[in-house]
Amino acid sequence: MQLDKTRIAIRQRGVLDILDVSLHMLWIYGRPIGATFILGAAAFALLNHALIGWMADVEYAEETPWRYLWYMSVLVYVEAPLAAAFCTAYLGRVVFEQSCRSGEIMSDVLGMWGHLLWGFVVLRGIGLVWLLVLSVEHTEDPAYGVLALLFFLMLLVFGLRASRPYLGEVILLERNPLLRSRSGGMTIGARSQMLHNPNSSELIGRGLGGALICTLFLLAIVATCSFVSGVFFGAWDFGPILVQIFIPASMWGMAMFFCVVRYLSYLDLRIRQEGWEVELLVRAEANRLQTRNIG
Amino acid sequence: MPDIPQLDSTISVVTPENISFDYRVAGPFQRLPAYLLDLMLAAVLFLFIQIGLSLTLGWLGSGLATGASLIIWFAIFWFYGGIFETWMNGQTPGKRLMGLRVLTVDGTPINGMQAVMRNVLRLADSMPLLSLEVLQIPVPVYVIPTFVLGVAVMAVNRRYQRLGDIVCGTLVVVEEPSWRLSGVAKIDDSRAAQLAEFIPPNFRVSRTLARALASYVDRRRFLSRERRSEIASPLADPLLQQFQLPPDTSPDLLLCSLYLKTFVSNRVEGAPRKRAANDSPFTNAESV
Repeated sequence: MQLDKTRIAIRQRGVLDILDVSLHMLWIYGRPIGATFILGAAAFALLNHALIGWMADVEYAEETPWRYLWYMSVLVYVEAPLAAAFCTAYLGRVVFEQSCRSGEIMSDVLGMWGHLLWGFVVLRGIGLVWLLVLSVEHTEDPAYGVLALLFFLMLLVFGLRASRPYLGEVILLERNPLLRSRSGGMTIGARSQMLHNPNSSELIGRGLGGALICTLFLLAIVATCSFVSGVFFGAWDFGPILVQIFIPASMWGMAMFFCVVRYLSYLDLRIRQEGWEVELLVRAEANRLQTRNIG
Repeated sequence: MPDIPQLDSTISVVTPENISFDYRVAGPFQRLPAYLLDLMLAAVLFLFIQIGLSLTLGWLGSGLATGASLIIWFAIFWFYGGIFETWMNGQTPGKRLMGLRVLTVDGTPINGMQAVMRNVLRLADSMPLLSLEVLQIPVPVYVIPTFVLGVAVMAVNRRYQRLGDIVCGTLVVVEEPSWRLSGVAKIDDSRAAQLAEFIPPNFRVSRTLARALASYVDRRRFLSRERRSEIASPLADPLLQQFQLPPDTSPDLLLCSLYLKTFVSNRVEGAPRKRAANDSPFTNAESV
């Protein structure tokens, strides 16, 4: 692994530059990124269908099944970082031209699975959202209490995600232990605190901007799906194909795009905060020196 | 693994004179604020013209004023970008504010035809258009742009060209003050110059090492002492051994001295040789 020869130019970037590069990266590495993302997201997509699929059924749905769409948005939003675990592990490897065999990516993620479950299912509220959604009775009653609870929970998750957006990257790529060992050393919590705290206000601003861009982009894609559904299937209204297939797929597509954005933003934060690009150059030079000395 | 060029938003453009320039190209997200600014300016411009028309032609009849305002709207909608990009050498007011400029793919300024055509073809990039009905307005007119086609086309090419750019042979670049001469970084700690004298004269600094040293010294003032030491150690430790210097020499100081020796050799040679007794370069105290 040559640390100064990376697949992406390592340098400081602005938010908009990161978004642009992510878009292009999605094109260049679309197939492996898509495959690793589907590997993580497929199980969640099926679970979501099992949890709320009934809401989209005609007998419960209004003309436009807003309740189904709202629940689906919440579920995809909270599950996205966990679903992106395989994709993040892949990105962590591909940037440094390391081998990206599926077995290695699987073992990268499965080795930290407990940490991920603790970090996201317990601390970031995925488990709570699942329980709330499970508690909804299969009737036309919109269950306003649950809707309100979900709304506040989503705000809370948004706050956590915006202030500490790179928890998944810290867990998967820095591989610190969850609890401090006897010999000391950095834990996930301490590492995350060290990375995020000095930039918390900027990260929250970026989170809000990202949410706005994500919403606009998602609306544009859903509108395009509606257009495609109208042109190819003759279904211009919110039909079952659009609601149950195209819209959730668009949401997962956005989650995949933002997985790439998050990874590049994580690199950018480390570059700005820790002089990471310099560290890579210096370490690469140290490796060369060592090779020369051995040779 | 397939041989894929390093992913970046910087591209090299070779001019017809065979001179190569590096440009940072602007993708859809970097162009969006400029586009929104131009949209707002166009709307304000139209509003003022509309008020002016109402005040001047309004008394002749509302039909005449409406007709004139439709013509003005048509002209602004289709030619705002083209006229400004021709007049302001590849920039609209929004692009100027956001530091963007349109160039041809070989780095030369665009001409009027290219400016007008790339703006007219924006309609193709804004596809698919949505009907006003999605906003609950019962008029089946397709005028709401989604720009999904344009974004998709930009994503698949390295120059982030939309359809209008591809047809006209243009691209949008970010104007950066790239002509800055940063010169040699200043290292205030005199011990670095003293330590440089102990580096063996036959030690050759490779191009990659010189680059690493320059990057390190350029960034070190933004880093904490601990972080400097952490970054410098992997390279400094084997070098200390190689130069047979005391192992407790500051890694940061060693890299600084190597930098001075590489880039400011004359100054190092001319550095004062007289040292105070308590001013030893072989100390782990970090330089400032």
